[in-house]
Amino acid sequence: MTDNTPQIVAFCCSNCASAAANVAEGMKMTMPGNVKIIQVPCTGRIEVLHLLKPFEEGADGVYVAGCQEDSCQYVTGITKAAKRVAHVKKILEELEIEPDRIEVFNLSAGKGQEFVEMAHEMTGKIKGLGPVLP
Amino acid sequence: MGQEKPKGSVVIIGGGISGIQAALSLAGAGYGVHLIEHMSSLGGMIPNLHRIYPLCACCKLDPRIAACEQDPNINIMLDTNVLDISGNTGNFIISLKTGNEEKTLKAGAVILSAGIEPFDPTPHDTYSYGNYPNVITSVEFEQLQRPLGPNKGILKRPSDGKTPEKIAWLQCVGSRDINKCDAPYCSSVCCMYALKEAVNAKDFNEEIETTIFYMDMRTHGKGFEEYLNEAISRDVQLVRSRVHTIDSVPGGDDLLIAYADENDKVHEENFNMVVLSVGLRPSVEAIELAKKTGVKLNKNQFVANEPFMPVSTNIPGIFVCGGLMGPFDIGESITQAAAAVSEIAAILEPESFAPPRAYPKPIKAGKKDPDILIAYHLCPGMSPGLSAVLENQAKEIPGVTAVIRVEDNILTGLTEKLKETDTNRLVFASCTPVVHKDIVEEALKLTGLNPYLYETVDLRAIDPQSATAQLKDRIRMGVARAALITPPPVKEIPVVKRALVVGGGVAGLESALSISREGYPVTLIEKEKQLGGHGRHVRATWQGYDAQKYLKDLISSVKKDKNIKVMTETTVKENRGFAGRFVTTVEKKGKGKEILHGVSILAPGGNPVKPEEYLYGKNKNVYLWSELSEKMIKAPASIERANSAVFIQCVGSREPACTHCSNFCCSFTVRTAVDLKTKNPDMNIYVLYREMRTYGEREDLYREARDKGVIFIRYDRNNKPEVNSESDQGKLSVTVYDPILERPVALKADFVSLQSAIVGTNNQELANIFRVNMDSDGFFAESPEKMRPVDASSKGVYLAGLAVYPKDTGDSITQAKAAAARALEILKQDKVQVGGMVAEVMPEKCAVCLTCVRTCPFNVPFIDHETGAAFIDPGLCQGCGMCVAECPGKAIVMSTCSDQMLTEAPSVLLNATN
Amino acid sequence: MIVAEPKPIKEILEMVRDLKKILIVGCKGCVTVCNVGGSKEVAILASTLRIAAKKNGKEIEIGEETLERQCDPEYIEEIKDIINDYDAVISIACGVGPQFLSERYPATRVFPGVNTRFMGGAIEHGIWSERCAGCGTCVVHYFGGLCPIARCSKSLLNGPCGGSNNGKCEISGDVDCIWDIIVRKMMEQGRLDELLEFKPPKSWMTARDGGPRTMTREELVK
Repeated sequence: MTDNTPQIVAFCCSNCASAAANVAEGMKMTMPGNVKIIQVPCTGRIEVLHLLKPFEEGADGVYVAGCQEDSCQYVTGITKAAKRVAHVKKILEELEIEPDRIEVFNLSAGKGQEFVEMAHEMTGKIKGLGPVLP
Repeated sequence: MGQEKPKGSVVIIGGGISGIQAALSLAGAGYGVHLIEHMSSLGGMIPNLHRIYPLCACCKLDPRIAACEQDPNINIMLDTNVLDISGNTGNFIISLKTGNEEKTLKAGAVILSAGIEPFDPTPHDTYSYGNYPNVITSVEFEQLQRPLGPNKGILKRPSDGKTPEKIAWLQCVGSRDINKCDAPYCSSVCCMYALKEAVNAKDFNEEIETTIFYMDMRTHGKGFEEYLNEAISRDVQLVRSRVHTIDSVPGGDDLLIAYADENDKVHEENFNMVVLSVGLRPSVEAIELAKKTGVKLNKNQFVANEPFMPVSTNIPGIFVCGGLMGPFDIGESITQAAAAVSEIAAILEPESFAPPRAYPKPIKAGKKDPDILIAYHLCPGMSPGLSAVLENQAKEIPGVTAVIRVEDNILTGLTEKLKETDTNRLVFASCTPVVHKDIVEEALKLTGLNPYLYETVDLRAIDPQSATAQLKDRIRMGVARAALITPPPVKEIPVVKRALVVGGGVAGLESALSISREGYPVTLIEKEKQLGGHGRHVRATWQGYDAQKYLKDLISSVKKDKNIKVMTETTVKENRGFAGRFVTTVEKKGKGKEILHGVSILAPGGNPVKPEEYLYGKNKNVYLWSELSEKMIKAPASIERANSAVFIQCVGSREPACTHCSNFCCSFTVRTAVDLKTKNPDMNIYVLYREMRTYGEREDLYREARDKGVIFIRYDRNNKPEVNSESDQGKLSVTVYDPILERPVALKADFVSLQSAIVGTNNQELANIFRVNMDSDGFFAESPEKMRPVDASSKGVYLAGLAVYPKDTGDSITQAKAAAARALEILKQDKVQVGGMVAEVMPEKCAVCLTCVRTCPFNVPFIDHETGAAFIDPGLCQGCGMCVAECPGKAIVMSTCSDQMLTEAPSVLLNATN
Repeated sequence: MIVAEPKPIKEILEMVRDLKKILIVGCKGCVTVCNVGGSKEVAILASTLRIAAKKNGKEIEIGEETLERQCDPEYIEEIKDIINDYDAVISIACGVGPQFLSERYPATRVFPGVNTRFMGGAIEHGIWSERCAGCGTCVVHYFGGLCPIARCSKSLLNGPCGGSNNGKCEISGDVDCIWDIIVRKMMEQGRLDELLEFKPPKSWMTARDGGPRTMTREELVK
């Protein structure tokens, strides 16, 4: 890992992460090595604490990747996750850490390449922000 | 049960979604299945599609294919053509050809699930398909939209690779026409897919202008009308016009469409691209095979069958589902596949290829420390170098006892290695672990381990530049999590071998019979005094079959069946439990009774809404459509003698207060009109409609009605017809604006029939009792697990009939048989497993704060006043973990995805690579 | 229950700016039920403080405890062996908690981590509403079972005032006029005439206005 590569933790719902990885693989797209994936049965399982922990451990960015709001197998999982991410944004803001360091993404149905694109997008964005520690 | 059934395996011809579904269900029921596909892979049409309406379900096909491949009772034969079928039930001989090799199979029954193909528009020279590069078919357009397609999901037109700014869709290409080599029927699915493609184009770029040229917008299915409204709100333009010719615009690749609007005004418009919405037809091979076998086809080359036996053919033992049955969508095809399985179960005892598996007694948690086996499986397309990297990395991780590579037979490989190495946790790495989950759990069970002691690692989309580091991360993550799993409690509970059917209409009666003939008792609950439900008001099916005779026979077979306990004037009050063991409280005349059952089928039916317009209830000659049918059943003379009749469609339907389309009202009207015209050719019959939705082969009937002189006048929702009483003897006059004559016309009528919206009877109440979801139209919603059209959102609850969505008798029967087949899958098991990947409350920590009760999307948790804590029934919990996350006291745990795993994961991942 | 909300993180950070060892103490009572002071929130606040410290390049040690209740001395006692390891305590119980802690552990600095708002209940998950002002003499039965003291902005007993507008209170369109609701309810019950009976000014001696309150029940005292 080079010094200016940001460390990013991604929480993904196992259902769509898998389907997305399928498409990404088929398109010969690859996940950047700096994005570490933690799978959960549903993004609704992810707590505020789980989203804060990576920052505590030195991550520069965190994101949650789940279903579209209308196609969550557990009905409201991704909606819950989005609310918790919004809450963490507020906490980060109070800590004078850029709230953009955490995001939630909805994988469009059938557009698995977004799974990889969002990893790159997040990496680019966090790179722009620099590390959390000055 | 009754007389001896022959024993045998089953041959399924066609490996599309319906064939796959039928194979899995049959194998689950103990049948050996030969699944024959003439292409080199399973999946049929679906892999070519972009997004499947209404929900993305792309992730649901691969697991099904993998399950077929791994099932010892399914023998997949690819690149194989069927040459001939002979014999009879229990004793069919199927001759096949794979490459140059010919062979024969024996089977007890056959399912024809082969073959739909898109219409080839080349013969339509005025569309210049093949000449102008930017005129493409809808199937080609789907390919262009697919992320795995040639353009990687970037919408480009073929001629110059530019993203089109204006796209036109032409509907009914190869359908609803009798010129050229078109099909006379409506292909039923094209309106929806054109809308879907247009909306997806908008998703890609909102600026793209999309125009659909159509004759009737046929969005007749569940939730379809809502999708149409969404498309309109997204600015998808709809133009009612049949386009004759596509011309090229000189000096470029654009295309010119000249069309006449409804006022006969001619417009010319340029488009960058034109998509031909091509119809569906049975494949040539499928037709040939049917003919050779002696399976009767109708004039449209679909299997000719009675609506009351929807998946049967004229040859006993040969059944049909999917494309050869007619132009159907995915959900319908899957439903038909399940119905075919139910029919086979009724005539054939299963003969399997492999004996049922025996599981050793679960090992007690003697060895506490995690001892991890890493197993990996590489697909042919994966880098062979991965293997060495993986093995080297894995060995360095503490806690890992062994690393193995599994190949062809994953199940055997895993089971043997787990036993040999005496490991107690498994990390399984493969390209698509989600499709292997069932196999991994099976292997653990066969070893005597708790089936949830594993983690999966996804090996896809690895960047070669940092492959080693990434692999290391992923494997370490898997190992760390596996080590933290505590075996979740798994209990086995005996299945109560009884079904509860709610609703004594056609759907309820049919499903009760299908279950009973397999030997399982059924309790059938009907809230009215009589059986029959809405079916009592159905005179004929759209094909013209006598529905009353059918219903009478059906009711009498149910009443005669000793296995079916019918309870009329009975309502459901309460339901508890889970798939395999439910307790339902029912009430008859104020007296309560508890019924113990393993599965529930909800078929409470539906009814037409009583209109508040068009003089309904004020003039005796204004009928609700069900009332007209009843009159035609009981005392048809006065109706048949009428001089003039007016049918008004979409009464109270497809309006803001009730947005859905009631699906079969158009077919009802044309059937009734044709029958009245046949009896009394002098009768003037007017049909006032908004869109004529005689989809599928019903289109033939629409043509017949017009040929017989029935007059169809289209009206607009903003300019509805008016019904007025004339002074003498209840006669009526109806005024409607005729868009062709461009002025109002007054029609005299002896009677008016109002085709009003069909709505569920007491869906909300039952949805609450059975904890199932409803859709926005107030019908029961299908399982969010997708591609399970008769499953409710709660396991063990299945749906059929009008309460799911308005549909005609034939479709209700198919659905009822499918629901029965799904229910039988549970009834045939001796035990169900509860627990596993579920949430569990630690009562001592619970603050009874109701957070979980309010958070659960499936309404599972409740406060148990005896223990003074919340309780989550492991049989009902869906395992999303939302309550675990929300609980303010950390009183809910999920051992397969624990807090410890999630809070420690970042440190495992982030502190390792540095 | 007593309903509280989290204090702004900035305020907490300011309080504990120079401290290195902090114990966060939650409560399993009301504040767990209203999702603000249970063990989950203890962990979230701890993580937040650790991130803040890390960002500012500081060393910090945080302990996490959640007591059965912070309004009973026996439970406060449970941290006696560890409290001296810390420079300060943040209590995320209602206002009772930090005081009981301060009283029991006079040498320790105690900070409040939440703002205690009112006595009320959950309208739905995530929304709470005030119901009781703790006036000491309950009168809700005169008003259709609804409390004008807690729920009328002016605590009027012979309301409504002229500021009632389409069922809303003049102070904000988000606040219901309880008098509007009381009148409608009494009409529905056919008891509107009872509201015509004049209610004399209430004695506030039993409320906070009578000074800090202590209550003794002799039959319970040892």
